[in-house]
Amino acid sequence: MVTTDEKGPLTAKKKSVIIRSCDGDEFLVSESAAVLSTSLKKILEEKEDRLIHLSDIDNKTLAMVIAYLSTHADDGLSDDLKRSFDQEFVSGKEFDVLKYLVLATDTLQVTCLCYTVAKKMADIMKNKLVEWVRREFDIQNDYTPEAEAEIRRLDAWAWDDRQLEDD
Amino acid sequence: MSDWADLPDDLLNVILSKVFAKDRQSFGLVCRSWNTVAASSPYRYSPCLMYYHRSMHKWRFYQYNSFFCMDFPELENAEIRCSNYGWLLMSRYDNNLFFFDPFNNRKIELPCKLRFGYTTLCFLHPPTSPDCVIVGIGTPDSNNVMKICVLRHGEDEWEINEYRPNKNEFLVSRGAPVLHRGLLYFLDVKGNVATFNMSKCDDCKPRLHVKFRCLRRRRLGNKIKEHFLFKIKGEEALFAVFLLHEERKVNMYRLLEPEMKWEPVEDIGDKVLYLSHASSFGDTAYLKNMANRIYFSRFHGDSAVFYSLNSGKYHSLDGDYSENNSYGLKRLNFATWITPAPTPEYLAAEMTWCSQGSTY
Repeated sequence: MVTTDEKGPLTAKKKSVIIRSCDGDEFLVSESAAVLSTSLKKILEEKEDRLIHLSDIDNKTLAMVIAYLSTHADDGLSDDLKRSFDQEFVSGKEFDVLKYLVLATDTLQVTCLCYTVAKKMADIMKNKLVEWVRREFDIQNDYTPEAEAEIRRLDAWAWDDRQLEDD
Repeated sequence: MSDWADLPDDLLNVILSKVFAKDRQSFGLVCRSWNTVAASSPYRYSPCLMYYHRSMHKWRFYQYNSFFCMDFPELENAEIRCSNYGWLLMSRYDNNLFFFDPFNNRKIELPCKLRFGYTTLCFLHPPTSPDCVIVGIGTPDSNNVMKICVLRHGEDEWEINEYRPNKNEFLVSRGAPVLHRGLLYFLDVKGNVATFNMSKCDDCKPRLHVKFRCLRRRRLGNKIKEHFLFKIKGEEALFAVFLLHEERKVNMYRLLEPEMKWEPVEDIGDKVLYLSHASSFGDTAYLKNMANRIYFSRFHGDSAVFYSLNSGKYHSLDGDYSENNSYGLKRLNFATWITPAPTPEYLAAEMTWCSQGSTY
């Protein structure tokens, strides 16, 4: 399957590349959008091949990253519009979706998006218990009860239960 | 990717940079590999700019271009006078003084009030240390009397010293004094340097030394609008930054001793400076791109502004501002740089200034 990106039919002048997700879906992306990812840029510089296979990014996540790249590669959009796109991009997304997104942006080295997603994740993690974070990330607690108690004691940012907010 | 415990360290660091305080502790508690990242993170003990946001009625912390907000009912009606070792020295409107550690929520009340309207107030050594002293310096009054008052740990009365610096006026600067080679160094508004010996010595040597004409271009002294005196970690000398005129041109100097002359500094290599009236210091930059920069308490919109010694310009972190002057920037004169300190285990006795029934 070949999906053109949202910017409509590509003009003949614009070079494009095909990016394949780990589950086999293929996306047609303009080269100007692809090179916003430092990793993709490197791959394109190193080889002539116009097909890039990403073995650790699924189609849903890849589609989101590509939508982001295409928007940011669009010279017709103002910086303000791009910024509001970024805000909307991360809002309303499930924590699970953000997890895969942050990992994908790290792999693809899309620094700006990586920061935006990480910030959103941090916002969701705010005021949550350690147990919540472990459950959401599916992480096994590998501390012994003694070691955990020791860290709680030593590293006590003694905030009691005062609320911390972001603005 | 199934094992989220093994997220790349740099990615965990990005997330970590966006959480603060208690959430940062939770982060390290998730699992061992996350704790390893949290323990070695540059964000853990890196300087924050702390200030009171009047319309929000909250204290705001700014760290690495992220803002965090906190409520501190303890700090109501109080003003930051000096900050060091992760502690704040605060004065209330009724002239009462106290120490507050905003990172561990600890407070030490002081037994005596401010005696005079000091131009600058500082403390040396952490407030829990028996060596801690508070020093208040009042600019010479109409009789040309300069007051230097000292309150030592465990004492409940100020030691008041009065000096007449000599014919020249030595108008004390607001910039916080610095302990250097066993002496207290402070500035006047023209960039001249005074030293004060903290210990009451029996030999009749004068404790205060005032040096004039410290700047080679003397007329420059009349143009200084803001003064910052500070040490840089790993450097022997004492440094100063003077901001000139309204456009806030940045001049940096190293103090040559014993001549007591300011020598211009153009470049600070891999160091970064954090300057505010209540606290100023320099350190090695954790992040490479922060090197050779000066962070003031200035903002352009919601983005911090730094001065780059490379470009000789002020820049905002978001890149929207880049000018060789600081016109139109938001100045937070009451903000202070403060570095979170790890929580030591205090004994109850250390948390009081004067122990009751002691032999003092």
